[in-house]
Amino acid sequence: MAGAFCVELQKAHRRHDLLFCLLVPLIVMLWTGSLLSPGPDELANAYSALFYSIPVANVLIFPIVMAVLASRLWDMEVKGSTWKLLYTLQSRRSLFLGKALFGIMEVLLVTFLEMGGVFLTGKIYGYTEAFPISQLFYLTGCTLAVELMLFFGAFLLMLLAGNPLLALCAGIIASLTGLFSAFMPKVVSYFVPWGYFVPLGTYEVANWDQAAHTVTYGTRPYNWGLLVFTVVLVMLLFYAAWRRVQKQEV
Amino acid sequence: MISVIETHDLCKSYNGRIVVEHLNLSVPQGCVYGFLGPNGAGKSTSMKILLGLVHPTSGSVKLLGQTMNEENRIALLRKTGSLIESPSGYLHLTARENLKIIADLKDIDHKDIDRVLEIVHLTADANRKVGQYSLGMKQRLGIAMALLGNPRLLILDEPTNGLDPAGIQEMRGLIASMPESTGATVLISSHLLGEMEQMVTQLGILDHGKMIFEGSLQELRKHSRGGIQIRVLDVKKGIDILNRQGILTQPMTHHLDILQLPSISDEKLAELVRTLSENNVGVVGLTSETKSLEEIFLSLTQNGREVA
Repeated sequence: MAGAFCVELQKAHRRHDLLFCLLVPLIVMLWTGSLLSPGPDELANAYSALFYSIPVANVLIFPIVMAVLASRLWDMEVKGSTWKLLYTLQSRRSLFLGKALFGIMEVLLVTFLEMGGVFLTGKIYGYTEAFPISQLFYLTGCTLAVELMLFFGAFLLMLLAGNPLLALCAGIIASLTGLFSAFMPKVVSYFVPWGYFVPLGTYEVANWDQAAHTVTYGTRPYNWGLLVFTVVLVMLLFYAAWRRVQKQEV
Repeated sequence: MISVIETHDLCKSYNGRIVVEHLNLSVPQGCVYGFLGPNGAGKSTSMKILLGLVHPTSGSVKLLGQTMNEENRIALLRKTGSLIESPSGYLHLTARENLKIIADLKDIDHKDIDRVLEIVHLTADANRKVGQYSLGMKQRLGIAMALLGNPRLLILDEPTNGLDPAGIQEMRGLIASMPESTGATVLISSHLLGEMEQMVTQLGILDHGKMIFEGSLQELRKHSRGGIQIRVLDVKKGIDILNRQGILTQPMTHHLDILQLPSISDEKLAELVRTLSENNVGVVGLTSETKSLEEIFLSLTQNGREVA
């Protein structure tokens, strides 16, 4: 498997995937970080505001981002007609695991950069609220789980369609429907897995003072049940993608 | 004789449509084996089955002396080189980078890359992206990938596609010399029958998924001899004598002194010539038609008959 992963690293040369993985969290942090006004009341509530808005930004951006990463990973093989050669040099299991590992690495990079950005944003803007370390760990786990689910879902679509169009269109639709579901009752959002960033989030608007134009955020319990369900979905999609590769005839 | 490839009752069907039917193929070691057949005969499918790219409906494949299964498939195929249908290559990488990937997968020293680039004349363009290559250059790269690591067996499907006449001639020379220079066995399919005739030592002809001939080129020509032409001085007498011998004949349209006979054995021909001479017909010329590979191929596949 290490050999297959090293080969994937060679294939990634000149594709600027690393740049893409750096750019996406940067965009998310610039976007969510700039939403906050620099007043003392806002800075005392800043991490809460950030932890509230990051899942909303994620639900809009990451279905498309994951579709792009997954389709780029497979599309190079389709464009290069490399199946006929690769399947004579490495087992399908080795090829799939190499691809999956590379994809997981990209997802990990995006996630950890985004979470690192949370910490950095607070330092740059001088947030005065106490840093919620446990919330950060929980947010990292949830973001990672949903992103992996989106990644393997897009990967499966790419395998089924043989071209990136289906995965990218699904990503765009998922992005919009996921965002829409965030404003629906919670029970509705449970039926929209690609929008799980929001129901998994632990921050919500506790109070909105219209006259004073202030928002107070509160927390809600960790949604462990939904997180476990998301992990199960990741495993199912991983398995479905593997079976597709295993059965594929060239 | 040791066979490098053997198939036993190989069958493949897609949704009830039979593509390969009870194929029993045997490729002797050290030969250049030509795999012929019209479009849709099942050649590419058969080659894909040999490489494990397609699962057979039934039957087995023996490669390099071992029955191929999921456990040993990769180990066996690492000793082979292949080029199936269109050439493979990552368009965003250079030829050298592509070959490095293949060398790593085959567990081969990168030093071999320069050798294969030299063979296919791509050394000067080795550091250009494959996406900028012409079809012929991509084809050469595909062949270079197949040649990496000096494989014992080469399986090439239409390797001269996209090559110019000089390139085709080079490739022909390279392939024909492979058994002698490297000891490799080559299984090649092509529609360029004239080129195949100059390279192959063994032939397998496939039609509608069935093998209708397998053997040497000489054997094929022996079974598919053309007619005989006899030039005589007394045409009318010659026709009478031949008719009495049970040979129906008539003069050729533009050469009224030449009688066209069907293909007959050498012994029968010698007897006829003796009889004609004894009866003062005056045999002054004898020509045996040799069909080209293309003519033999077309007559076999259009008539759909098997040749023993």
